[in-house]
Amino acid sequence: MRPPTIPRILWHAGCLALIGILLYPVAWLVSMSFKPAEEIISSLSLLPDRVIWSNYPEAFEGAAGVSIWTFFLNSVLVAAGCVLGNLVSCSMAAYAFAKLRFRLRGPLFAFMITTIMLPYHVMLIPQYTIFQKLGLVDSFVPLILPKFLATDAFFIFLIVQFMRGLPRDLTDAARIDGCGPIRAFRSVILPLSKPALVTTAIFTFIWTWNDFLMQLIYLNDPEKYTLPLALRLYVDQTSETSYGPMFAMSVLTLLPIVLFFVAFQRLLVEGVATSGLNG
Amino acid sequence: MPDERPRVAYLFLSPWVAGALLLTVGPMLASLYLSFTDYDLFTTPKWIGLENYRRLFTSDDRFVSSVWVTLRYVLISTPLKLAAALGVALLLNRASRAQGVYRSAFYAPSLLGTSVAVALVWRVIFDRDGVVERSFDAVGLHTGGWTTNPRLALLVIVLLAVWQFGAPMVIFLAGLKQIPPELYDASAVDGAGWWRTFRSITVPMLSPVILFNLVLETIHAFQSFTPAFIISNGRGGPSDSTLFYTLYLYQRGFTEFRMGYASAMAWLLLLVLAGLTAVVFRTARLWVFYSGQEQR
Amino acid sequence: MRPRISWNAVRLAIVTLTTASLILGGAAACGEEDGTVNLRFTWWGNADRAKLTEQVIDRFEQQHPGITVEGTYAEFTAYFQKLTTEVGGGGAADILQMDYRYVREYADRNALAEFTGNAAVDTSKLSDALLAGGTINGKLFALPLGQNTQGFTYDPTVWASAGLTAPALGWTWNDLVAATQRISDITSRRPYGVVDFGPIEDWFEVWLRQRAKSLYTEAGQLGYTADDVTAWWELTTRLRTSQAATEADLTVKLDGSQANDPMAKKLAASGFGYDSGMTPQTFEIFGREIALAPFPSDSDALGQYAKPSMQVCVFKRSKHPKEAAQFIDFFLNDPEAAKILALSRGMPVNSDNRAAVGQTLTGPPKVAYDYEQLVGPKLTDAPPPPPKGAGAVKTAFQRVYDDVLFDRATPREAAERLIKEAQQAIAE
Repeated sequence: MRPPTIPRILWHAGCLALIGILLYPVAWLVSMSFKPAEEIISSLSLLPDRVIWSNYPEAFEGAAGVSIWTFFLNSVLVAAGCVLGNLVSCSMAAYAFAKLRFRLRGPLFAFMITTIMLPYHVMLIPQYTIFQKLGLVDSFVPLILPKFLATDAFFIFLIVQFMRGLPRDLTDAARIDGCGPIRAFRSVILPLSKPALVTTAIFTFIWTWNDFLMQLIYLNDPEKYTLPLALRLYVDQTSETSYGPMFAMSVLTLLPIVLFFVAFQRLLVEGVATSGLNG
Repeated sequence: MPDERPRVAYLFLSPWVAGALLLTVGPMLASLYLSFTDYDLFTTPKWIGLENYRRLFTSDDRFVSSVWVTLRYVLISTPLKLAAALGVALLLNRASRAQGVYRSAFYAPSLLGTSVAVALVWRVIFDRDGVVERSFDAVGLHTGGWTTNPRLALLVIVLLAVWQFGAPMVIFLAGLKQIPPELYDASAVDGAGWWRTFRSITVPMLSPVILFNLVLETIHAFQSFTPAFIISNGRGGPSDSTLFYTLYLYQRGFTEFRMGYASAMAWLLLLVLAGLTAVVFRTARLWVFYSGQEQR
Repeated sequence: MRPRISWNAVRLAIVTLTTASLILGGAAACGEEDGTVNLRFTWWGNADRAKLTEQVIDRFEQQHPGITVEGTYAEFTAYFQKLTTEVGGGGAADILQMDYRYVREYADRNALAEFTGNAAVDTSKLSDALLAGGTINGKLFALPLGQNTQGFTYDPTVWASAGLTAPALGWTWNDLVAATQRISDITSRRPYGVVDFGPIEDWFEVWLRQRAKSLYTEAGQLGYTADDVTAWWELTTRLRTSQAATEADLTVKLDGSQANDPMAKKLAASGFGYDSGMTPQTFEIFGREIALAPFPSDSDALGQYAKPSMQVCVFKRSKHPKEAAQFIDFFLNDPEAAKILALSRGMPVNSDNRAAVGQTLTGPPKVAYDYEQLVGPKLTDAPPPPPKGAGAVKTAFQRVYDDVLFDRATPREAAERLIKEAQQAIAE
């Protein structure tokens, strides 16, 4: 059933107008990367008076003698590790909380939610101490391991909410077919939870990609630096900031996640309708 | 009918339990203990009982103003952000070839995170002679630069938060996708209008996700740190008008080395959030509908 | 079918990448078995500083087989965020770049090692005035990495076109008021005469020293009263009200970065600063040439001092304090190292090196160097490192002044509140 033409045009116009406003700051970000340093700090117009390209070659030189590709690879490794960790561990925990019955479910669920509520700044030093004692500082382990141990309660809760919403007849059917909980998880619940899992994967990737603090704290060797750390290498309040290359680098850092999102958001659309009910 | 074998449940929970024991419980208890001490990070903590808490309530004006700033922020930004997210999600939830492109475009601001570059751009836009001030000037409202005006600076950060509504939007979208299309078909057959369908099908079916977004966005707003940190350069200015709770906590703990005091602030926030969340969950029984569970 | 395939491909890719990342990450902990000493050196600064520092590290490693130095750097705020976490968790680097403001916070809390015994560094070419800035109760905990001093930066073209003579030794605060007023009037505040200097404790300190006072006494108490702060803020309020100084909108943003400096944005014709702000690209970023002059003063005392622009310390728990000291010694005293580093951390502190480097400078660093030559004889000793809590007082100074800027408090009210807050901060 195709909608009539006038509402469709209105719909497109509305979307485009909103997008125009939302993307205005993004346009600034991009245009800044083509401005010379002097213009970046004093100009007030969106378009550069004088377009320069040199910020990009400068950004590509990398920083601290480390190539931009190293930063890029490190970011990909960390983000990919975190995505995998969260998908595996959070979906498992969520399944237990949403679909299995056990005595401590209520209290443990409440505790899980509580762990989100403590400001992370007070956890920073104790957690650092643990990894320091384990000799794992200056590696990717402190960044990735917590994800394999489901410390991101946000995603557990997210997946729980989706699993609770799965139609009962479907999940019960699995039981009636004689599936044990492990098989039910693998072959019924997980496929049905795809929207939640895709969401988890996308968010984890993007948030890890942009995370600064954890990577700052746990990585020492510039060879292990990630893109967010590299970005901040251009900025220093107490000395001269290389604004141009910083903006160029920001744009370059943004590109991979834009591509990532554009590629994977497609999976969001599929939802239950295409992958679950009829399969 | 949930499964009755608890051992299997704990098997599924084992990574989480390991993580909690290794990385969460210890540091949480440590910070709880520290909240009763005078602790400067480098020397042994000194037990002072409830002194930190007493000081928070009786002799710390900045604490009080940080509470007000945070409350104002939560009350303004959370509803706006959720409304934007749900509105756009509904707008996008229809079959169109352009949908993927639009969705990506709406999510784009959230891809940026809150980096130094974003902060700089944001400041340029809201600065004196920036596009926002000029637009307001054009209609006769003389605001001056927003980031430097104690009355408007918080609004700038609210707008930054609302601008990045992508995460709840995607979650709403995923929730909308999970609603079986048969329900809408049935509703259409009944001749229900847009509003009735929204009220009687979309909202109840989406309610678990609404609950999730409401709880998480509220907690998130209470803990908001990076935007204020990066826009005001860690100061919370001008005139403490963007001194968020966690920003003040950070200043106390990390720049003034009063980690005991900061821990007390952290636990106070935890208590408030836990109370609030408990209330929301209690009321949730009245309005959240899980199709996967027995009716109450 | 198509989605399912891509889903599997993604899964495969993720597994591969994670395994690789865990292997790479795990390979981190190695070394030290063959008798080499691994030192870690952390500092804050930009990429240029890092490049030069890495060159000096390479040179040191060549000359000292058996010692390797790993450099880590970040920008100022992030640097201290990380350092605080590391020191709190007991795992900081061996060699730490340190800010004068924080030396005492760390030293008093027993986080820094003393430069003594076999961990001593040759300081024979360093002036006592500078060393005083790293000495606490007679013990040396921090060495200067560079020297800078306070100054008055101005746009000579604007000053000349306003018919003003360039500021020079012997000019007074009244001269400053008159000159900046004239500039603002003539140019209709484009640019303003001067950047409002009320919020910055550093400039207040010079003003205090001209009046034979100081920020902190030897005993670590507050060295000024509410009257002093009131007088200072009344001066700046007068300048702001008469529009000689920048308006609140601009002043409130000051944070030491160029992006928020009205001077850099051509919105002001002069302002106080450190001469180390004269970096190679300053003229390019400011879009014009800038000159340096001494502070105005109403007394014989100039009030400025030779300040350690930044310092270097050894972490108390470092396993190799001797080698760390060796590296620092090289960093400060080696003539080639000094040539490489030039003015990237301020004026070289070793007097021989300073003279040698001075010959090679051009552009803004040359302006700074000539300025130091000019005011050098008038500079006095650096005060001992400020007490614990001084960092909080410095930020409070600026924060409380916000209220003056927005007419939420009179200078007197604000000054009294500042004193109360400051006393609390250093007492706690």
